[in-house]
Amino acid sequence: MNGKRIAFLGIFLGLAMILSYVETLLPLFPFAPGIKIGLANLVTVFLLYRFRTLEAFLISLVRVILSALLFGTLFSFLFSMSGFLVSFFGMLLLKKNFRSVSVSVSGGVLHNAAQILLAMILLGSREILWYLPVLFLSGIVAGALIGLIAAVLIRKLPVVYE
Amino acid sequence: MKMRAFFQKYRKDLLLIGGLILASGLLFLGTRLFRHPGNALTVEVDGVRIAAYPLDQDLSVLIEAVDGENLLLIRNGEARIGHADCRDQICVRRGAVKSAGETIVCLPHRLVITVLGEEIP
Repeated sequence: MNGKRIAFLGIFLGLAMILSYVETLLPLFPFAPGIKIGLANLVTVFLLYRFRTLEAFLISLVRVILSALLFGTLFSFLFSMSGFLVSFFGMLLLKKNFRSVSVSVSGGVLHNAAQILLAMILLGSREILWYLPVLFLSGIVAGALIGLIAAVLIRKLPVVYE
Repeated sequence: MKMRAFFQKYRKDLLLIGGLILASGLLFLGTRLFRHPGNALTVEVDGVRIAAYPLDQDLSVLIEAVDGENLLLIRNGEARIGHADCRDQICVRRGAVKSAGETIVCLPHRLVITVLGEEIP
């Protein structure tokens, strides 16, 4: 790990933070709580395929923590964190056999599913499960969008210091 | 790339994504099929049930939840949030609920309103 590499990772962290912020400006979908496009995951997926796993993990982890500190509450942090952890390790496992778009789609689905589970546990309500279809679908759509963009970037971005 | 070659090359991925879409379709059907009319609802804040109301009586009650308030309205056997001071307003835009199992959730306020299919226990 040298200075240049660290600097580039820092840039990606900044980029993830900006994407995270931009997301707070977008209007929210009315049918279920917690639906997001997950723009910041663009950086996560990109790093997963172009940088080392640990680097992708740490940068995204720091992004989740900082975003929660800046834009969120303790409660929202729990949800962000659980979604991130489940989706990241899911994507890591799938990365071996699948391409970035499907990995991102799975990441999106896992992220939302994990958040629903957490909501069920924290709020003690089994009925929240009824939101699962909506969140599944939105995870697929968002994941596909992010995955397509990430795929282009992964392939076309000139070799950044790696 | 030609269609057939495309499907061949990305077979695994298309199967995965297709499978997920199928799963969400099934889940959706599931929620549609197992619907029962509701006749009461419970109000839970932070996992604690603080109130319950029947759906056959119109009422309007202001719920003091975590970090804010939500106005619950029951009319014509349906329940909805008329007004809330949360930032995302998802609970308000949710609209009306009336079937058993349907919920209105205000996550920032940790509020969960659940419609029940049998009388208030």
